[in-house]
Amino acid sequence: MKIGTEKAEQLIREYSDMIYRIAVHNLKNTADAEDIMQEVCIELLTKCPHEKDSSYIKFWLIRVTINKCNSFRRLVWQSRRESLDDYLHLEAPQHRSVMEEIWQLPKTDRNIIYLYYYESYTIAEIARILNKKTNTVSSTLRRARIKLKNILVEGGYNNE
Amino acid sequence: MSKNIYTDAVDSIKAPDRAVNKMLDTARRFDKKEKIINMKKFKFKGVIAASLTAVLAIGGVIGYNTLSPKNSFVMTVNAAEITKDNSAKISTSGENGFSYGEGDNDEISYCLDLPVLCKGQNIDTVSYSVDSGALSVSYYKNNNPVIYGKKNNKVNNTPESISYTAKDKKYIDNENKKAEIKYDPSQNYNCKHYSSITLDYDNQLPEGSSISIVGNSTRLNEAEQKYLKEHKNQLFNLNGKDEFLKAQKLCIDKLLKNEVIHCTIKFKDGTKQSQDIKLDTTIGKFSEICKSDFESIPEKYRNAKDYKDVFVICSIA
Repeated sequence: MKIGTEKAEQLIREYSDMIYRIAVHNLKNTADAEDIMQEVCIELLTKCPHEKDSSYIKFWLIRVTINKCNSFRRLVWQSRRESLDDYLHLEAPQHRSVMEEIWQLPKTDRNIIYLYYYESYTIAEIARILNKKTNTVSSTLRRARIKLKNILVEGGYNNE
Repeated sequence: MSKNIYTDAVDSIKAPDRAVNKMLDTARRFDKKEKIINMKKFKFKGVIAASLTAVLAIGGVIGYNTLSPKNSFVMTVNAAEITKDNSAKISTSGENGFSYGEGDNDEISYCLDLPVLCKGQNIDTVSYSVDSGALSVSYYKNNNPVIYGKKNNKVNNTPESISYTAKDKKYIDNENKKAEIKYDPSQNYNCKHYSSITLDYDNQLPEGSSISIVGNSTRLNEAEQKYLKEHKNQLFNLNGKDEFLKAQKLCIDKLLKNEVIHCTIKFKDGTKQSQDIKLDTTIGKFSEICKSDFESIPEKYRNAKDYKDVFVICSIA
């Protein structure tokens, strides 16, 4: 049984920003991120485990979005270059430069940092979402935090 | 604080209205489309089911006639067999496999996901042991895959960044100095350190479990520890310049010094076979070290992927 239109609309309104943020983190391109939103929408309509609770659905949506981004990067006909030039809708210019610094991190580091800092997931939960081992996630997180700190300091952001 | 700068920036990323509206339109129009798709799928599924039945019937007959239980095993990495000519290569700045971190007492710890999996016929159990570090087994609830294990107490001082012991029921964010409890008790993960472990062949890595080789620099002699302290910043350097890569290689060499993975297979008839796996490091370009992986990448993306890095090599000893 597929998810109903009403439930789908509710989930889209609730999680569209999250899906977009994850896609932008992964693809560094807003146009591609919008395409990913559509692909995730189709998955949501056809495969969403809607009988599960909302925290599981959020978890599922994160996984689907990251998987879609990974597949997208592998597509032979994906011809858009990774570019930050169209990243103009951020409210403040300093946020744009912060994101430019963040993008220096490897893709997995960016995902882990996002899930840990922004979505407040635990290491064990991140390991499940990314299908990685808890040890790997915890050590990658540790390294990513050091890198993030260094990047932001080097970029002129004070470590208050 | 880095966290606040980061979360403020992420906060400002909002999905464009046009993209959200497009998703909503797709959801509203989905019901009509689904009916058409379902009819197509129905016919297609029938064809696939018939083909599969035929393939399974033929395969079953061939399998029954030609395959008989015979003692054999191979060590595999990502389903590819490791041979003397084909070793496993793990990028140290890549996404998986090898990681290292700085502990609370200035020691450097490392974690190498057990890169091998044993496959074969007539196998009862698979045992692993390591010479220098410890085998760190993480598992969900009581689902420890280790049926026999020798505990290791030497690597207990591995920092929490490497040895995430969920049984402590907390994850303290030292950087924030707020003793923020991050552990979710509902997750109920456990982690134990062993010198050697024995696993059931049919249950080598149950869902939610992982096996890694962990260790730290405290076992090294004074001169080596001093070297690591002096060069630890280079371990975390993002830009793979040649001099940094050389220093990184030397550091990782010291961390993995004398590490050997011993694997022993016990077959159902009681006989045993062993295989040792040694760990080395090398510096090189992805295209040279992981040639077949590189060649599988579409040509237009190869330049971006052809980075220079330190690789850990797991090969048959």
